[in-house]
Amino acid sequence: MNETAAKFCEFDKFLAHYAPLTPYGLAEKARGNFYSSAKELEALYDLTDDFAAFAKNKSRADKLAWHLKNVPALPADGPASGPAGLFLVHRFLSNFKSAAGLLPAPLARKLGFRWTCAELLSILDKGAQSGAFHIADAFSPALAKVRSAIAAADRHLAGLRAERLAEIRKCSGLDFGGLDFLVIAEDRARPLCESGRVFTEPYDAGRVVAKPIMTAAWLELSGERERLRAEEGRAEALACAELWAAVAGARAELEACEKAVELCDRAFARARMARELSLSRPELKPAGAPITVKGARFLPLERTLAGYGLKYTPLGFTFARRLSVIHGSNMGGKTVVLKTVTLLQLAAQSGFFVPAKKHSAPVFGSIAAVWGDPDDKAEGLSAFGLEMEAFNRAWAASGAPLLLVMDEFARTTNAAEASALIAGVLAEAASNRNVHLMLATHFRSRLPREAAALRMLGFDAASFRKHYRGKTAAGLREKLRTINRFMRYGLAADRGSAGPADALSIASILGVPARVIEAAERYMEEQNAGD
Amino acid sequence: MDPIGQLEGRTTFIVGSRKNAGKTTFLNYALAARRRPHGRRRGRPAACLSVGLESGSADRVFGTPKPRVRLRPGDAAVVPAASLASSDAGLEILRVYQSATAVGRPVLARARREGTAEITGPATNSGLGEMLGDIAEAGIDTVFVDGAVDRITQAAADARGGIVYVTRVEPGTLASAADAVNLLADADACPAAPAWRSFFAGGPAPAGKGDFAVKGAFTSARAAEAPSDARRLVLEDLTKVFVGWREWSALRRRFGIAFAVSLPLKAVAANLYNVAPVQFEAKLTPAARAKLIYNPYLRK
Repeated sequence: MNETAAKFCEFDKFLAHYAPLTPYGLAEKARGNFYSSAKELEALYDLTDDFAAFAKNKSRADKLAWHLKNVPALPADGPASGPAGLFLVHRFLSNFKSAAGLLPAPLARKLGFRWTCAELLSILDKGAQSGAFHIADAFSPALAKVRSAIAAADRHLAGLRAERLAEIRKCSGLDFGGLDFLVIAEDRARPLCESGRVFTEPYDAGRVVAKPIMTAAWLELSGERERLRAEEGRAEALACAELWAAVAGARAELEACEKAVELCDRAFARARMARELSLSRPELKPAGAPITVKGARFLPLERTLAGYGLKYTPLGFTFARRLSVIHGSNMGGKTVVLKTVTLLQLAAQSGFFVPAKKHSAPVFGSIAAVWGDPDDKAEGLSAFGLEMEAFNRAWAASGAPLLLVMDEFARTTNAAEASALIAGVLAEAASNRNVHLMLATHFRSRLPREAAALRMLGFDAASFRKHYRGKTAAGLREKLRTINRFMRYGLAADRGSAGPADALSIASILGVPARVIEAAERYMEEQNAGD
Repeated sequence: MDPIGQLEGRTTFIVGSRKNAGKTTFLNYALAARRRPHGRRRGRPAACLSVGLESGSADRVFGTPKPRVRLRPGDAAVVPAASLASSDAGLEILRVYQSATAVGRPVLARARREGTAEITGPATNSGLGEMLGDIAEAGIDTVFVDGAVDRITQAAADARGGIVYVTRVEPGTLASAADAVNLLADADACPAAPAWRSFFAGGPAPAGKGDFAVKGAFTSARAAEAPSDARRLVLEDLTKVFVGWREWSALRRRFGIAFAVSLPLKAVAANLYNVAPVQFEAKLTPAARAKLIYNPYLRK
């Protein structure tokens, strides 16, 4: 259900500002948790508040961010990940320890950020230096011994190789330098081959690849080195297994650390987001309480208007009744009201602070939007059919507290039946106390007692005429500026009148030919006279 | 021209005309040559990795033995985590990458003693940028990237990059190999048009008349779309050029050509098989000849 609401209110644009730093926080972001427990939400809000206070110390906040950025995910494949997995465990613990040292004790306790892996870290530290990690000699005396033997063999081999290459150079002038092979003319290679000092294989028709043949002493020592390497491999594998056993022994502690990291990352990221977007803590109310918003901003529109240099009017209103039916002008802001309320509620129930000075609302089990999603497609269904199908899906969740937002419901059918359908929905919603409905429409229907009729304040046609006296706006930007200037984006109780014909004024500003507007006005006058 | 010295302190993409052109062999030569006693930066470590399925993982995926690179102490390489144990270079791990490729998790590792290692690379272009960043953070400024040319653009745009083009020349491919080298050398001489970078990244076109920008592959058909008043063609980078040398030359006579992202061609390493140098050079332009080096393992 929440997916329809998320799409309707462009929640992804809000979430784009949410930037966790660890793989754990990023995984939680991808999951998109929705909470219907006020207790869980209050706990998340408390943590966000705590981190907002913590972040006032910029130096500490920057250090914490740095350590969180460097926290890797612990390997899911455990011992199978070998030394690379141990590197990740070491890196995780090093950064966890540093992060734990930065958090104030009460906050660390709340997060479960307790440093309990000192012993494991001290074991792994033996293989770490300046952030690098390897299966070090310190892990096993056998490793130290065999590596020392390999180093001695390498020195000896290098000496024997240098001697052999010098001998080849002296007798043939062929200088391999630091290269493993050379490409030389075949006729030059022949005597070298015959001398047993160089091995050749074809390169092309006239040339061969020549490789030095090492002495018997070199070959013998090289074989010994291979044996030592195999021994080293076995010792490394053994040390690696022992280290993984130590990791397995601390599994419960590591899982607790993972949970703490996720919680810390989420709350810290939410606090940074709250600061960046000037968000405030939502107030959660008991079921049935009204939804109240003050200074509420629909962020995507606020940004778009800022791009056009237009002012944004924040929303302030108390939706006192369980059902709200909103009427109003085209481009008067009905949809934005619905989107704003949806965004605030979805953000709040996803554990975020909200883009409003005040937002108080009950906690719902789900939030659904029925809005004629242009991407909603199903074979054989018209736009009307799809909308009814969307309504059915939304209504199926009304067994638990549901915030249902409906924008221009039944817009694609005739006015009489659309009004009747809306009346039916309102009647059904009135009888189901789980449903909190907000519906925007141009159609008039009979309202049940539980519903409040609201209207957007609409277009100030008198002021518009006084200022413009028949002039028309040119260009989309100027048209929008004109509408923005004379549109009163506010909500009020609807007294039930038909309301002004704002649609014609807006159409006129948008450049619909004057003759069309005049004919439409004449038609309306005739209709009104007939009534 | 000091073919290896000029690659110091930069990221060099070693790209090949085809599979088995000799890219990894050239990479091994570069790693060895810069550590020789008379090497300009003797003692300074280098790093290497590969990009693209062709050079990075196909060999292991399809079961063919993968060529290995020889590392000296201090050198770093991106290797598959699963191959750490098989390397004899005493690798220490500097970074483990989460996004696994076809051969598993890549690891940035540093050699603690001389030895060989199998190299791999990132699964994505952004992964390449991350790896180059980590290598720089490890204090290594000379990087060799063994790989497919179509994977280098984004990272190269931010790196101080250059290209070494390795080509295998045989009698049957002499003309086409020369054409490819001529085109590369000529494209290298084309100016950069950095103002157009954002356009190719999805932004607006910069103001100015006479430029015709071609998004995506630059083919004969796209070239024909240039308006009559176009004076300059702007291409994203040389990996988008899909016209032959002859057609390229004709277009160059008609238009100026610029690249939004320019990747300097540092050298063309030619591995000649049954072809004499004089035969190959006869088919090259002076600009191409100036970039030419021969198989560095070749001795008279």
